[in-house]
Amino acid sequence: MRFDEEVFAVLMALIVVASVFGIVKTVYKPFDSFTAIGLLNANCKLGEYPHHIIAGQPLRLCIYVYNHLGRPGLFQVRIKISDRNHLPTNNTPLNKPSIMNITRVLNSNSSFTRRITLILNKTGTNIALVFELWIYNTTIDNWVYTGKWNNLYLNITEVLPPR
Amino acid sequence: MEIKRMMLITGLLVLIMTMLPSTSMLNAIAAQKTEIPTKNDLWDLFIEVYSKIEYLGSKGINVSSLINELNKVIDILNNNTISNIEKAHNILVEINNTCNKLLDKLPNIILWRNVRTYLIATVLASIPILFYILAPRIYIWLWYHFRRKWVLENAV
Repeated sequence: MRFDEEVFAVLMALIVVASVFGIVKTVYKPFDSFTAIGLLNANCKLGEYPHHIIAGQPLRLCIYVYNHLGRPGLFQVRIKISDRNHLPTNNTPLNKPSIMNITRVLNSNSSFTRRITLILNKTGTNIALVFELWIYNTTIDNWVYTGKWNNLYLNITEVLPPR
Repeated sequence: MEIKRMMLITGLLVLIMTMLPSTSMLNAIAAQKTEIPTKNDLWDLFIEVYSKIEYLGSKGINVSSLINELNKVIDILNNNTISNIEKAHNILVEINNTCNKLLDKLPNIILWRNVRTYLIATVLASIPILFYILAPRIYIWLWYHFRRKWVLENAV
């Protein structure tokens, strides 16, 4: 192959493009910040969630939280009991007291999975177990609702219904 | 005589009263001796330490080990006993000291990280220029180097 002007120009163009790409990747690092909460079953896997439980029997679940804020975060999962008509939105949390709080500090790009055991004594149908994700805001020195939530509908009976 | 006795007794009583420490003083002395922080104090310290870790983390400092320690404190605080509160307090003080050291070093760390980043960018930017100047010269040098033993012959 001859190293004439055309070959030189093509190589030059390739090197310039690669160089610009490298510089942009080195200096400019875009970051999409978000948080996530997930509800997992007793084996900490997706699916096969319990729907019928007996009152007073332990209900085992797993909570998953992911931090992609680009900085560490102090997270709190607030577990509340509600019904189908009263659920949180992406802006407002559920106006009910929490039955359990899970607090954890998470580094950026890291997650945690926590097994939880709940004992629910109140019977009823379509009882919503709500999991809200809160984060501590150091600017206002208070907990702030992230707008991320999950729920699980439960039918709680005295005995298991016949299949 | 009676008045003198009364005055003496009153004087003695006043003297004893002033010498005796008050209940609040006793409490303060006891608190000073043991220095057991309350759970609220501990939470304030926890938030102070967390704020520092969050700031350090946002500046790209590796705070993984500090976060692990902070989570240990949360786990300890969940078992609400006095010995645990003391233990958590000690861990928090330790983390706080480490954070303060890192905060002191932070401007230097940021400076060197910026120097490194822009040095890499400068090297990358100089590659096309260097290629433009050196590539033809290297090509010509190599061309001559590999053909230096070639002999020109009269083809006719």
